[in-house]
Amino acid sequence: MLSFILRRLLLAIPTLLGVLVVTFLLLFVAPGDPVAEIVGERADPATVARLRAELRLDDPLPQQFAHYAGGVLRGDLGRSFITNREISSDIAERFPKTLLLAGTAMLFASVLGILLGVVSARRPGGWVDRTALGGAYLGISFPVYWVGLLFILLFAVQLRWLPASGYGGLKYLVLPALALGMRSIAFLARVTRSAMLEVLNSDFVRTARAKGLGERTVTLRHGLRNALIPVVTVLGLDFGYYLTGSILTETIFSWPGLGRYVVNAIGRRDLPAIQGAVLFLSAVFVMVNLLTDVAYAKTDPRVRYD
Amino acid sequence: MRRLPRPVRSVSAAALTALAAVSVLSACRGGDAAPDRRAFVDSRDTYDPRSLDPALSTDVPTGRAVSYLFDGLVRFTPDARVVPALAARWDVSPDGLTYTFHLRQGVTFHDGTPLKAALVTSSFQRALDPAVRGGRGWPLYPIRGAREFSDGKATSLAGVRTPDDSTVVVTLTEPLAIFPKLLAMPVAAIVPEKVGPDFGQNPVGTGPWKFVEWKHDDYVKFARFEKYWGQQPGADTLIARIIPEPSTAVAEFESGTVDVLQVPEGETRSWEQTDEKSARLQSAPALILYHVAINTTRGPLGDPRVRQALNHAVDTRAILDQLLAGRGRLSASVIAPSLEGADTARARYAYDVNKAKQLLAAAGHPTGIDVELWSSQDATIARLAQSIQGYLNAAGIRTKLVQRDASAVREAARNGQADLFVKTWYADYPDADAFLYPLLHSASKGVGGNYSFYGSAAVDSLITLARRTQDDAQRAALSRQADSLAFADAPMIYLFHYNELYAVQPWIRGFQVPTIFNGQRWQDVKIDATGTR
Repeated sequence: MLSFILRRLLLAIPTLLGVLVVTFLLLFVAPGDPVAEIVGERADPATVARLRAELRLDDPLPQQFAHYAGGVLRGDLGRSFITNREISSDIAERFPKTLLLAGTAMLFASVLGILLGVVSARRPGGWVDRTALGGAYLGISFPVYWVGLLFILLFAVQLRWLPASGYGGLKYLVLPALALGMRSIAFLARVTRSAMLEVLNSDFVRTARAKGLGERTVTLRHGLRNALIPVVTVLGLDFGYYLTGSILTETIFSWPGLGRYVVNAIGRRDLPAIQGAVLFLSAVFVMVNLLTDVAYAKTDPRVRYD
Repeated sequence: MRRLPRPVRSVSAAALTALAAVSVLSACRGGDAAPDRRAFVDSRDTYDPRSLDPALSTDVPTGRAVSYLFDGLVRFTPDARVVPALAARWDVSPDGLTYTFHLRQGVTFHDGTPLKAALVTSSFQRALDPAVRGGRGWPLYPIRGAREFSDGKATSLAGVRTPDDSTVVVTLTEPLAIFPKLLAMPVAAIVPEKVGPDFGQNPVGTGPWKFVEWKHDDYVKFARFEKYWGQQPGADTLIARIIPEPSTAVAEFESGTVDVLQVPEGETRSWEQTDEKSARLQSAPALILYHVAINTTRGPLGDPRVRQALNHAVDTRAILDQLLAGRGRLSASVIAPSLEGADTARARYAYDVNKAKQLLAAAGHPTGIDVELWSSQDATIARLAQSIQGYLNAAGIRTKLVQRDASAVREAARNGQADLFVKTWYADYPDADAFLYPLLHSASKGVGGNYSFYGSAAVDSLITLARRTQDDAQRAALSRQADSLAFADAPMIYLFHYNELYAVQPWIRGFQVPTIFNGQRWQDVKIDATGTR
């Protein structure tokens, strides 16, 4: 197991280098002028030219890349073109907020999704199953911004139970996490249900029942434990999706996370900020994938990485 | 498409009914009394300010925050007049080259240090300093030696002298009647002597509000400055929230958690037609021109008849009514109608497809022309561009739409690659010159704002003369003349000047919708707890 983890970590290095190069090249060929964003409207050509030179945007591509990559290898992501703040401190400020949102959404999704899936699987075709199925269809079909605005209208404007948007204590977290988790609740419920059905009809469950174990024990100890194997995979995939896909949720709920940071940086062609954030998110992604695989080995005794 | 099983259909029907019920309820819900608050909460910023440093104020959220924290020598009122601020009064020499500002006595910064004339010099130098990388030195370029200083060719600013602690003498390179208005821009705010590297995060000014905290992408918090020399704000705290999504800002306003709201164009009608909502609306003509810059250097667009044809081909009234809910005033001028020099009686280019076709034929294009129309992907602008494309096509001007993100489109337009470019122009100061010089003067081609690459010796000299003329009536006449000459040349498709529409909570008293973005500093605003909806 340990050697597997080490191998994977070593493999992450070329992956991240690739990300570094590709992002850099993409930004180099992308239209849009960072300097135009710094000077705003009504600029004068002399200032534009001076800034271009100062930011090394006139250097040949290899030189620009060497300068940037050198900084990254020293652990320095540079400063924002627009705000002149350290990219690393910007990310440090925003990423925990995205993580909190994604983690809470995940928690909602796994608790509710797995619960619904188990309940559905116990009486396939029963009213609980059908209602859950219908809810799942809705949950998967509605886009997050629509669900988000609906939640805001209902729980913030009408009922005044929760704040509409912003960042703060627990009460600010509920709506965005629910909206972000909606899709996953539905998805996980479906995955859990079908995995449960498959497991509950398998030989070893019949054996467990024959031994005279109670229905609860059979369902949870033998059924769910084995049904969770595909669920873990889905959770891992979803978590990565959340970290990068929370942009819409963060925008609707004015949540000050990394997603919005990246979008703003792209809009303003803040090259160091885009590169830094993309590199950071790639590293997170690699880590999440690794953790998923490890968790997978823990839940499925058949999986061995040695 | 598989039919859903029966229960599913009933569930979705129920959900849709619930949604409909919610939206009906929210349309007719009565409100609560004023919340017990001692803070103003603003919802207008849609993105994080770039910085709180005046030298970096290139965007609206930054400029607004700077106007709370800092004073310039002069400032704008909400209705865009220029009034004394740190300069109690000023004199202009007869040749219009020298301005002598007499500073107000007893002004202190938030940290207690006193204001001195030398700080005016150091603040201007800082805004021009290439090391600060603000990139917005142009409002100070009229000062003698400013360009040399910002190019690093001079170590001090030749045109600013301080004979004593309360006098600042500024000499210009040429007479410039708009100079005081330039000094009310955020970039010309006065900063203290000690400005550290994190000044943009921890600003110190002389303004009516002092800095408390800034949570990026969330809010900026200000507290009333008790020792302010002028009108004290009517609340302890001001919070500028950053809310990127307009629908969310509306929901916050309806929950009573924010005090002012810029009503989204798409919601205008529903606000105007709901009695209790319309009671909260306030409107003001903004200094914003919607137009389509026509690149006069590209192919057939060099011919004024073709450009006139473009103007005749578009039904601007329909676009204004349909897309902007009538929130604007059709224009036959670049100058906003509220400004001196605007000619509100000038006849517009009438919507007349036949005339457009005749003009095209007269210019030698009986079978029409092909053009590319560039626009950003901003919701309103994108729809505007699509409508314009439809009208142009109908008049035989075959139009290909190019929509990219704002930065890419701006770059292409600045480099002269866009035939037509849908553009909103925000004036930086309340003066005809803030439209004429950037949009029509040949010195502003490309990066300066003249995306038409329009150049006319006659128009140039009228604009330049207007800038130099101190007499208001004469200036207005010159501006009107320049505007009129350009209008006949049609360097753009003239659309409309925008009207701001705000909703203001009933417990907020004295809030006036600013005509210019940094004209409302919340000094004359109060919270009245008895305000009911």
